[in-house]
Amino acid sequence: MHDAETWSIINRWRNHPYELMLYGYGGLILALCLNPFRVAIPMILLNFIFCTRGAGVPAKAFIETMLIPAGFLLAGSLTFLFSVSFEGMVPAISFASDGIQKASEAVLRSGAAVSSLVFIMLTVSVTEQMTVMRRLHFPELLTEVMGLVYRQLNIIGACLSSMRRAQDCRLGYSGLKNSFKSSAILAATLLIRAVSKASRMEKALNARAFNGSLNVLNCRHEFSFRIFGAILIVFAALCAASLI
Amino acid sequence: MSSKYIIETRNLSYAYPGSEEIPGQRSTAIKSINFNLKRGIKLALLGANGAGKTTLMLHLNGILRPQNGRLLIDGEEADYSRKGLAKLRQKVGMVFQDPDDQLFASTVFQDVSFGPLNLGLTEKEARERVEEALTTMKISELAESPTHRLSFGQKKRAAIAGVLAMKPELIVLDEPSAGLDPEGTEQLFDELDKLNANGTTIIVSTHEVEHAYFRTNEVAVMSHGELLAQGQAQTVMGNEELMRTASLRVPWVLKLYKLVSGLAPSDERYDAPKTQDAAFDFFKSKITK
Repeated sequence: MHDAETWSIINRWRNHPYELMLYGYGGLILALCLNPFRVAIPMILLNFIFCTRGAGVPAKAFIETMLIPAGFLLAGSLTFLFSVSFEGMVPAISFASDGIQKASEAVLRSGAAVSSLVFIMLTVSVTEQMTVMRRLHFPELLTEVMGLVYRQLNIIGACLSSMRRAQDCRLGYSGLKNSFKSSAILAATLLIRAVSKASRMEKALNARAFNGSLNVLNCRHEFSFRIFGAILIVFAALCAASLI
Repeated sequence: MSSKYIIETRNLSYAYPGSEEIPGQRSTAIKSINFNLKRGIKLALLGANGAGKTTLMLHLNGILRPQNGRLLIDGEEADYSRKGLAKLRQKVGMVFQDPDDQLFASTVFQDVSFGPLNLGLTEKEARERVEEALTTMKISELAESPTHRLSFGQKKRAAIAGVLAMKPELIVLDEPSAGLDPEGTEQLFDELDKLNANGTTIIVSTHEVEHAYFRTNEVAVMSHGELLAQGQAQTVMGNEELMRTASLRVPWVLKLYKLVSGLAPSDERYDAPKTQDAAFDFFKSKITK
């Protein structure tokens, strides 16, 4: 089974990052602005259908990716159901009169917004998102730092997993005491490794005539006016459903 | 092109700062290196771990500056100004041992385009160079792949493509076969052969003596920061004492040749086969007789 990042690289719609980001981020804004009782469920369903039937991402991947934020969302929404008053000496907890209304509004609004983010996460890779940001003239520094952080996170992640495996092979995580000790050593060594890695990477950049700016070219993308039109129709329909 | 050598070093010395304070470290990484390389040659820089191969290579690309001695490019003193370094790095490309040190961008296409853009090429020219380099290294289908998702062999190819796209006259490869399987190593050397046939001068650092013997025209042997010898592979690598001093092995073909012919490299009749095919033919004829 592939992880979310892999689906974002291999999905059927991968060559349309502009349209996908327009749909995803546009949907996110609509989810936050429109009446959640009217648009949230259709939006979640549309995101699910586009992601699975359109982009070819398995339903399981979409649901699993939704489950993590949904857990936080449900736990957070529970607080709307209760109200706490401090009138006497002891704080009194009671059911809030509009608690169900508020909780369901929060769950629906956030759920729709999260489903739009999950849609982007599963269909547009981080590299493509950065490409689109560059094309849209986001500050160069922001996209460069994003790119480097993304790359470094992957390098550090690989480094971390190989070091952890090496410790585990030598019983580094047998028992609580050993686990704490190994984790501490891992954290300390990882920093040294990361600094050493950064220094070697700087040398390699200099070898290719680095002049202080990380200029790179991006692959060409397709832009479909048909998809663009369809997105606008979906957005118009959602707005109409919310406002009329 | 005033000099017959594309690159020369004269009494080049370098010591890593503070290395003398670390127990077990030698204070000088390279000492008085006099090294030269003719245009169009494919040279293997041989030496055990810690011999100083990487340090010498880092000088050739201007990453390190000699503390003593000189570096000459086409007979002219290396210029370490910003402009001079850009020129030097266009002429001399360096491929690092660990491709993860070199691949910084998110996708292969982006990474390969970094060098050409730094040379001030237009987007169109840079795009053409990237596509050409990816085709040469047979990784066009990986253009959009994230660099961290590649296999080690693919990363190596992407790293070499990143240097090729700058069209250097000399490519310096630090242990290019490290971490590659035998097939990957053969394929990599095949690509290097093609580049060399097209006129690119190549330096490969390695301690794999068989590859060095069969797949390069010339060898240079380093040990403990010193250049012990440079010349034809048959003569240099056939010198058992020299190879022992450098903690290296004599290639099997030379051992066998000596056994069969009874000739030493100092002998005028010494003519050890240089290619694998020539070696098989030679030994086959001896067995048949």
